[in-house]
Amino acid sequence: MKSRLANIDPQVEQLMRNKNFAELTEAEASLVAHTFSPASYDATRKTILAATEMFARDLPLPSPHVKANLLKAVAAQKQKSTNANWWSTLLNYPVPAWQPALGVSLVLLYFFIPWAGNENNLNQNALAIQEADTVYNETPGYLAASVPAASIPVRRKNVSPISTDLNQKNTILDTLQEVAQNLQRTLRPVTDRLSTPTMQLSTSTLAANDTAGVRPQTMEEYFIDPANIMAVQDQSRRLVSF
Amino acid sequence: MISLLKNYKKYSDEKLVPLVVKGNERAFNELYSRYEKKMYRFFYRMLNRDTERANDLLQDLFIKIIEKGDRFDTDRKFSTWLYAVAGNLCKNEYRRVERLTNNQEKMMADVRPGLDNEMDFYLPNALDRSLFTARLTDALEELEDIHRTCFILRYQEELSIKEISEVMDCPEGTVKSRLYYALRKLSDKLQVFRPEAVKLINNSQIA
Repeated sequence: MKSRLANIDPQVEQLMRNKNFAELTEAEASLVAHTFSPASYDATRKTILAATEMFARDLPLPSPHVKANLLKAVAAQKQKSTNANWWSTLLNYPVPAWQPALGVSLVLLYFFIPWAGNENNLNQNALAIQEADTVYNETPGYLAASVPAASIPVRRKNVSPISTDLNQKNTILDTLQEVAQNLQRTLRPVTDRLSTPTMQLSTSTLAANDTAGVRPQTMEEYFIDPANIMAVQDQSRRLVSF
Repeated sequence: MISLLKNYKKYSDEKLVPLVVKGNERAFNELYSRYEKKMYRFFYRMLNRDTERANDLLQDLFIKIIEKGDRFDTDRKFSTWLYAVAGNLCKNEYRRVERLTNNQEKMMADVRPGLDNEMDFYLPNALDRSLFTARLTDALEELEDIHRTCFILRYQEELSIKEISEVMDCPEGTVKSRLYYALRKLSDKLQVFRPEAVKLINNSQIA
């Protein structure tokens, strides 16, 4: 009895789909004969055709609920993916290993090397910069008092609502005192009052050689003002008429 | 906004999978529309026409793609991977319901009309296409799992021998051998219908 192969060759299978055994050529029949007898060839062919036809006809469809459920799963996955994305971006950011190593080394140097955090060195550096500076340091000047503090009368203002006469008297007295002070300030020689410059030169050794053209300014230039004299004269006139 | 403008119909399956894993709904819709019917019919046939379980396994299959699609090697063909996962789901299902299935089969055998009985065969008027189809379906369900899987992948899903070998993770020779045995067993079981089958097939071909 002729032994046959116990498997199906794609070529033979293709023949089965298209031809009966009777329709095969001699070459095809000899190829088929390795696997099937004529009867089993036809029986297998009919099975294949029947099955293919059944599969093509019987086409069930999935439930639409499946897709609805799956879309919920997709939405949940999107949420999960978004949350994970932030972390993965941060953690997977491609940084060469030497960069964080350098950063850590610098921090360690700052805290553990003696000279790294010494403030005296910083002050010395600042002083050196100041000494080399050629620009004036402008510091505010303070005026010397022209009237001794003890000579200024202490005035008590009467604010009692029933003492209107006292208030009136005080007002007159205040006016007289103000006029007297103004007269005294105007008539006193200006040079006796102040000679202190309002600008101070820098303590820098190079300041003397500065060519910026700034000169010290004295109080004379501030107080000899015709407007002040006119104001005093005006007040004197009012006093006389009063 | 950019994703809304993309036409995912032009994307290959392998490109769509990573997008689905990221939760892209439009990519998922495209992938699902490509495979929902195929995979449902595969499950339907593999699970002896149990529509409920076929729907369940279809859902499980796509859940696996959504949640574990990153395990898919994009150098491989997606459909092959999908059938392999589906085949594994079927195996798990067989194990789960093995006892139940055996009981059901026994019950069905008791109730099923005796088609092997020649008396029934000699009732030609009662034998129509649906009866033949029903017998073929029953015969298919009686096949061993590996033979049935091979047969369905080949004649329903129209996969090549090479693709089936990848899906089932076995050599091509083994696939050919399994197909051979599946066809022989089915032919033997349908032998009783042979005269009618010839007529039906010829009619369908003419139509």
